[in-house]
This record gives sequence, C-alpha cells and structure tokens, in this order.
Amino acid sequence: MTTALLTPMAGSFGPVSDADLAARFATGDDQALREAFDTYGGLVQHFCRRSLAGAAEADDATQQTFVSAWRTRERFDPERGSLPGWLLGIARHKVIDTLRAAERRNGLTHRARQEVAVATPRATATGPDPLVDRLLLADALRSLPPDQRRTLELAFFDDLTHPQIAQVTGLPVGTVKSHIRRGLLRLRDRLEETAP
Amino acid sequence: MTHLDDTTLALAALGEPPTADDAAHLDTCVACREELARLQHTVDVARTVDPTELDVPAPAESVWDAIAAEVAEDGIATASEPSDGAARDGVVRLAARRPAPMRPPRWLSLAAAAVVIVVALGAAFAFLGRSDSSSGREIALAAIGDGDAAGRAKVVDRDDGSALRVDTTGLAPLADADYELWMMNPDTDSFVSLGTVQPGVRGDHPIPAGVTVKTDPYVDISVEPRDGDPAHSTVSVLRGHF
Repeated sequence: MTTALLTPMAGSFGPVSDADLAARFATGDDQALREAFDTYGGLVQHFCRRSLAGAAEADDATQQTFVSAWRTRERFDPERGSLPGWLLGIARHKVIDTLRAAERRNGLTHRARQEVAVATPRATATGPDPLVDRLLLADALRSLPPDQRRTLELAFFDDLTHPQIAQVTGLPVGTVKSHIRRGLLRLRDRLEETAP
Repeated sequence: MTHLDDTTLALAALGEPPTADDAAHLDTCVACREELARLQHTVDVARTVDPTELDVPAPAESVWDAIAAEVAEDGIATASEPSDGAARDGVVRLAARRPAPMRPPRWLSLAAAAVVIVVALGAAFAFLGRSDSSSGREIALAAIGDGDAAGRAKVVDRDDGSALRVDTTGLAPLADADYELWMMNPDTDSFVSLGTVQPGVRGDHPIPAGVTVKTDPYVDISVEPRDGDPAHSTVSVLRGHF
C-alpha cells in the first residue's frame, strides 16, 4: 500500500471479489494472505487500536491476528460467514489475551480504550460485540460503490430525506432511491453474514 | 397480498414515514415487519459509526513483514514433514486432525482464558523462559478446581515423529469414563485429542502432523464419559500451557 488512506481499488470490491478472496483464503492460495492483509489490514488494525492503549501492542495484535488466521484457515468456512467478520473474531481474542496478560503482569486493570466490552472478565469471547458490528459495517460502507456510499452517508449521518439528498447531490429522485435500496441491502447482507 | 417493495422498506428503515396504505400493510404483515426490522438494525448500527473514522489508515509495511516472516517459519519447520504433495508456504495442516468438526461449548473458550490466570502462576515457576524450540521444554499441569492432581508434559522427538510425554499424579481411577489428553487453542477453537491417559502411568502420546506447541499451546486432561461423543466433555482436571 502506498497511500496513507485505505481507499477501495476501483472495481475490486463488491460481492464477487469479496467471496473470491474468502474462498481463496480458505484454500490457502499463496497470494490470498497478502491480499487479505491489503484489504482488511486497516480494519483489523483499527479494531486493535480502538481496544488497546498502546500502538505497539495494537500492531502486535494485528500481526498475530493475521498469523493465526493463516495457520487456521481450514477452520474458516466461507459459506458460514465473511472473511472480515472471521478476522475480527480472531482479533478480538488477541485483544482479550493482551489485556489479560497485562493484568497478570501489572496486577492492575490494564488501561484500555473506550470499547471495554472486550476487556471485562465476564465478556464472552464469542458473543455479539457492538464494536465489531460497527467496524464491519463501516468496512462494508467503505466498499460500496461511491454513489451508494455517498447517498447513504447523507441519509445516516446528515439525516437527509431522499428528496433532500436528490436536491443536494443533483441526482434524480429515482436514482437516489435506487442507491439507497441497493446500498442498504448490501450493508444488511454484510452485517448478517458475520462469522459467529 | 402484495408485500412492500425493498425501496419502501429501506426508506421506512431510514425513518421516512410510510404512506397510510403501506403503514396499514405493515400492521397486518409479519413478513414485512421482519424485513423492516432487519433493515432497521442495519441502519441503527450504521448510525453508531463515526463518519470521521470511515477512512482508516493502512497498516505499515513492517507489520506485513513481521507476518510474512512468522508464517515463513512455519513453512520451513514443516518442509521436512510429510505433506499431501502440495508445496505451500503455510503450515501443512491436518489430515490427521479429528475428521469431523468438533464444536465444544462456547464457554470453554472463556473458561480456558480465565483458567490461564490461575495456571500461569503455577506454571510460571516451571517455565524456563521463552524458547523457540518446543522440544525438550517441560511444563507443569495444574489441577482445575479442587484436588491434588498434578502433572508434567513435554514434547519428545522420536523416530516416527513428535510425541507428548505426560506424567500425572493424584488422578483417581474412573468407572465408565476415561482421562483424555488434548492439545488445544481456545483462540481458534482447536481441540486435538491425543488419546487416553492412564492415571499414574507415564505415556508418550504421538502428536498428529501439523499440530505444534505454537498452534495448540494448551495441554489439557479431561474426564470423558463413555457416551460415544468424541467432543471435549468440558470437564477438565489438569491443564498447562507452553
């Protein structure tokens, strides 16, 4: 990656290429690990940095996530969930391990960032995690075609109605409704396919 | 009855009020209400996203270098092991592992993580320090719960492959059940059975190809009822960690 921001490569994201990468990862394709890192590395790193106080610890957790994922790739079933969802599940375990190791070393509750759902001893390692859902959805939103992404951003974050979006963007109302429909359905599918 | 189309449901999920006719349909139609609920959940999650975080930085290339280096070690380590013929740079994994997907109850992952805190204190004294070589390093197995059971485990190399040498003390004889030995990794839900353990008898248990103290660092001895269920019973008596 030569750019500082993780921006989708034109035409390379979308249902077909997501599923293709997931399938190739599961079967151990030589290039798939690097591609998974390029595609989802930012997402995993972002999750680890949100959950751990130190950037070095977060980078280590990111590294361990991809190493573990590769070593256990036969356990990833593309039929049952998405590759980013599975990766974040592993990342969550790594974050928990790091926090517990720090507790043992320091004898103190490790200072963690805000999303302490993963840090509390009673948190299940496998239950739903709002942070994971949020990051997966953000990743899905990032990878929508730009028109759908922009339309939904206006609807989600600026609370514009579809006629207002048409006015602001200059697009026909019918086109706006189409972007909303296709984009929201795609986001719903990505959220619902999250690996357990 | 015609159901509401996706566009109508999507707009309703975003909070735009439906027409009177559409609202009336929703009142009477469970299927459309369920579809709407799924979309509303998606919108709810989306609205928790911080828009300024939508573009996340890519990790540094050095993170990739570290990943590639660690994965390459696996390839080197397993190059001399029998493979299925495909040359891969990753770990040669488990034709020898349990064939059917065994899914122990989810809480075992949490229990394993919680117990590590207890076991780590005991194992710390037997822990001779981080070493990249697993062969020869001995770990202590500590009792889970009450009891005087204890044990030791270490990897030994034999002509026909690696084995886990296990000694135990204080395990009571069982009726209609066996002690079973496992190498596990709760992070990846990996539970590999190494066979049964006889109390008080030292045993060398062959380790299946592809299983190492890096991939499955926890050693566990469980009580397995003779019920025909090969999955881990979740009742552990001894556990240690490489």
